[in-house]
Amino acid sequence: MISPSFIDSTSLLFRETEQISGTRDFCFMAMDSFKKSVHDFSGKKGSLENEVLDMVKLVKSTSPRISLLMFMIFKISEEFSQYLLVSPQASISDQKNKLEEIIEEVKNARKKSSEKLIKFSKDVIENGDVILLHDASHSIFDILCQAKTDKKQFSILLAEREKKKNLIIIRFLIKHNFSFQVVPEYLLSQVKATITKSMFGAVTINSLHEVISDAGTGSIVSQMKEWKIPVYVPITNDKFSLWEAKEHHTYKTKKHKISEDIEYDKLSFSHDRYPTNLVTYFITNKGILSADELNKKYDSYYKECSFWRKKNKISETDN
Amino acid sequence: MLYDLLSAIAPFQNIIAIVFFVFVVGAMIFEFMDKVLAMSISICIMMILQIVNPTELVEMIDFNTIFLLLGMMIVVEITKESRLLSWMNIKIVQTTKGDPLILFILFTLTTFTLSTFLSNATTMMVLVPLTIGITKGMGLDPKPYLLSEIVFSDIGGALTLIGDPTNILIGSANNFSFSDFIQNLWIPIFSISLVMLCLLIWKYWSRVKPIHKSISKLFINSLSLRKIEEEFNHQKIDKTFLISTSITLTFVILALIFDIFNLPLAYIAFFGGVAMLLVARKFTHPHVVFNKIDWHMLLFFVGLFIHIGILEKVGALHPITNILSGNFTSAFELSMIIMWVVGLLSGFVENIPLVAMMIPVLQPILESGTITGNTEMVWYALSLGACLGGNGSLIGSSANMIVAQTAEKMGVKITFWEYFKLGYPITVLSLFISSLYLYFVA
Repeated sequence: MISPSFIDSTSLLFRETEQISGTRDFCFMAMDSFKKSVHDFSGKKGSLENEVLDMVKLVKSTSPRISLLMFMIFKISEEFSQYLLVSPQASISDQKNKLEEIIEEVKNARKKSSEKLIKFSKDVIENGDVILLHDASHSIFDILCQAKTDKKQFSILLAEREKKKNLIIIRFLIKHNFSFQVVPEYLLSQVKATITKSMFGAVTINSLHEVISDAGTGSIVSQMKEWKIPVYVPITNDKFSLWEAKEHHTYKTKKHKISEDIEYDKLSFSHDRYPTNLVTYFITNKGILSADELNKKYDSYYKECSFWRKKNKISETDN
Repeated sequence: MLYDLLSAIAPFQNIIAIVFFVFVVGAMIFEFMDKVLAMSISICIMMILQIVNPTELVEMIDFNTIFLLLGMMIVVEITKESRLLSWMNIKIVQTTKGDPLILFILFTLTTFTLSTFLSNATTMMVLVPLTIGITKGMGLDPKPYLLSEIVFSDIGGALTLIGDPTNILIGSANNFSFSDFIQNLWIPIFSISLVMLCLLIWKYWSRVKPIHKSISKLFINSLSLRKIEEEFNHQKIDKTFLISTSITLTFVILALIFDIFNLPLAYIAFFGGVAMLLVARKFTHPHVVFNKIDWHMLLFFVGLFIHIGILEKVGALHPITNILSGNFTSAFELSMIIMWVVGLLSGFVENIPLVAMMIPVLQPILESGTITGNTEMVWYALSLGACLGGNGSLIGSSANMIVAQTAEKMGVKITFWEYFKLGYPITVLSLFISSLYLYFVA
């Protein structure tokens, strides 16, 4: 039985880690942690399957759900269940070894998806491009590094936001010797003429055909659309949230104190959301897709997964 | 008219001095006024009433203690600036590999060790946010960890000269060296630590026991550790600063422990602080360090010395001296009464003014030659009472209050009674173990 307080602290841990490391790297960290926990597990034979099911329940219950992590855990759980059907007499040691193997395979499959995405991104960046960045998406970082390896000549314009995120991006740009300038995110109108392309990360796509992203991305994407500057969003299909999305979700913070005598309620949201049709192209592991093509792909995956949703009792989410 | 007033109050100088002392102690306990402000007001009035003159005032201040405190504060601030403490904490957490029991033991021992060299308040300011961040992230209840840290910060602080301000006062008044404290107190302190660690583990077993039978908990622990490492890796740490600070700090601590230069400890601490400023000059500006020095605490000590000096001057402490010297003839008896009275009071009254007041009371008694036995142990009994007594309640020491306040800001509420039910029995047991030790050595 997983307690509500355990779920709450897990949700907080997932959110904070994902914000520091990005969705992809967070999922890899989660897989490494899962593998280590299986290795350190010292329960009796017969208990391992229940422990894996508890992991599924835990990941399913966090708020918000991280779809990529959910898929990976579900896949591991299904493959392990099939292994137990085939080898019911396996010792606890063999079961643990097999489970660790499955985790590693799922992690590697995810890495291959990322590699395919990078492969499809090769022609996106062209010589002379000035690319607008806003968030610390590791997929975008990989695309930029690949373009540099391919000896493309381009520069970066960073839309400045909160200090912590900026620092991550700027450290990356300096480390890899990218030519860049910084502009406040609320003054992009002053530099719009210089921007040739824009790239933004995405946490997931939901059933309302919305891109879920870092806070503040939605408004900048809208501006790019208005100014007819191409918007590129890299995302692999295993990051799709294949369950019914809620219309809205809010998090209300505690009172925010701005000075000794002024205190007010401040609304805080973990992510931003905007329609997929604001995006010019999605860079995916299945190729470069327009918004319509992506929406059709999403719908077909959604339909394919109806049995999976019923089996795992996945319903509403706040993504 | 003024002359007439001064003449009229002259016979009542001791009562006036006591009233002002009580006023200052009241300000500390009930916080109706800042304690340094309260001290300043009472000193000003007593100067106007000619109870003390400026020359006497300066002579009452123990500058050895002030410079020892100032030197150590500079050392500690630069150590914090270099992120040495953050680096050490990450290494400790990595060592635990997420095991709640090992985390509990290591955090407790880290608190104990840091408290022997840093002020308890500094130790807690560094450890509490880290403890709450790590334990909450791992889905653990932070309270057992925080409560254990409160207990061990007071126990650890008793072991060395610089571990607690009361020890600085006692050591400075008697020219005790750093190693004197360790030689005379390691047995009771280590015994108490072992007993308390076992008791706390037994009490909180359900919340700190190993979790090897739950993959979900192992998973969260491991992921939390990785997150902490990731956060730490994102911090900019200057390795040169870190290494040079570590080397200088080691040298300062060794100089204090082994009395390398045969100089008063205050000189070593102050020189150590200057050396750290020199080493750190390329990485942090001295005014950044000086802005963070607790000048309020230094002024508090200055005011305290003046108040105690005035009490001594007007003979207000003589009744206490007479009671003690008239009723106790052996070092053991005197040690026991001092340790237990100070120990039980320290849970509710600030131990620093209590110890500052006891020093001029005990000095003439112990120098008179009327006390038989190992008279030096009386001072260590005072130290034990003052330090261990701080565990009695949340208001027993400033470090305890810092833990409670910081924890509350981070969503963990420790109430007075919750801690009292744990802290006071621990204090009594600690004093009992110390009594056994004193029986054999005093």
